[in-house]
Amino acid sequence: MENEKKMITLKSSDDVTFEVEEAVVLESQFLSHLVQDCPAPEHKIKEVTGKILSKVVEYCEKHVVVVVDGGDSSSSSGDDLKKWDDKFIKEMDLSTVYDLIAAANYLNIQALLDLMCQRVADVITACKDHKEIRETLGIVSDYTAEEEAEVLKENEWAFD
Amino acid sequence: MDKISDLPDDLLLQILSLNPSKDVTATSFLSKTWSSLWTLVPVLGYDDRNHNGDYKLFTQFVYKSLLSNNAPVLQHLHLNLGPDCSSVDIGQWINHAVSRHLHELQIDIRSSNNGPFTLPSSLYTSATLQRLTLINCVFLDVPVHVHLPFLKTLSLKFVTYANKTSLPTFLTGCPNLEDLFVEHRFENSPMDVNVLVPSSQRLHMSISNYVGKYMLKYSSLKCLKFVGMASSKLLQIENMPELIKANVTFCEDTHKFLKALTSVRRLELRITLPEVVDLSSMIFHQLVHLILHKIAQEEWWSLSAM
Repeated sequence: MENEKKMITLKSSDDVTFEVEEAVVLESQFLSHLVQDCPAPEHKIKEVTGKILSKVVEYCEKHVVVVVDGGDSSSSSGDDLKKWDDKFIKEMDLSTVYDLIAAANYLNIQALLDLMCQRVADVITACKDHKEIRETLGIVSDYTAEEEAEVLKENEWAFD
Repeated sequence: MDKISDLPDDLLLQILSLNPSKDVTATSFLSKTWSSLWTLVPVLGYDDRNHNGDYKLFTQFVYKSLLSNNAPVLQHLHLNLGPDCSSVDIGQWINHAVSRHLHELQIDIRSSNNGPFTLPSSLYTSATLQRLTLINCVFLDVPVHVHLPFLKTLSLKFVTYANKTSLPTFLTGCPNLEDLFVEHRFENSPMDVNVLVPSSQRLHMSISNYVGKYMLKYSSLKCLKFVGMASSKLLQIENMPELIKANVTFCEDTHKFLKALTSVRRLELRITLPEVVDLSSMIFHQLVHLILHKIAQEEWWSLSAM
């Protein structure tokens, strides 16, 4: 027999609300504790915007662990989930990835954090040198031309 | 500051831990924020196939990168090396990493000009090593004194053993081993595996392509996963009265093996049909959950009592 699903409302820093099942919230360690400690129907998450929270909710809804009859727990099958993750991340610009890293870290959702970090790591690996990494990741260099030349000379060993 | 550089250092380090050390070093040139971050990355990975040009430059790179590392804990070192790498250098890198309280080491020596690489003795007495993976041209000349109190996972794939006692001696020094994977190439000479770790409670043992005899003396075991092969021969197995869960796959000696497991509560078995008939005399007093694979439905009843 299935109990009626408990719904919880999450409110972003810019007051966008999301109504989700409790199981979805439990994907986040931070929110699990929040919901346990404070049984209010609505929770404001000041550190995360509506745009990013919508992505977090989308991810958690897909990854939520379903408890099936007999007590064994299972989520969507591994391969399907992997494909879904790949698509989820492919459609995302790096600026959103950075926001999601911060949000996943704050909300303590390890799998989402791992997925986003891997995306950035893959981008770094695909670059041929530090200039390309800088450009692709949108990093602003605060080295003067002289300083940069000096650092490059000091670390000449790092090149082939 | 730009958006990615605004992330806390621990998150940037988490990203960099996923990159090979060559790419990590390149991030030192990005900006002042990133200039020393690379020295704090707790994961180091060197693969000589990622480096072009003179091999000496690769060797120099590994020394500089390894010696510049200031991570509070050196979590993981992964070496993937070909025949041009000198065993003296490899030995020094491992010694240095062990002195930095390394937790996980993976060495894959793809091929070697001067025979398999002999591990430095410091590795056998590391007080911090938790996971060790040795692949291909590695020579296991195990010293008499092995003490790896925190080693939980040991994987040996196609390595060469100095003699028949190498592996048993190694295992004697690993009181908390939980996962053991032994993979043999067909041309490797037969070897005995005596797993004798009285305090361990969990073991995952996989011996594929393995030609030789094995012995399991694990009376306190609570959880066992075992994958055996037709070519391996069970010599001796000690009764496991504490066993709660077992997952067993094998082709020979089923009867002898399972007799040691009769106290188990949850059992998953992958065995051939003739072996099932052989089980009929066995009584599993405490069995509450059983999964049998590749066996016809009616054969289930030959397992007499549950």
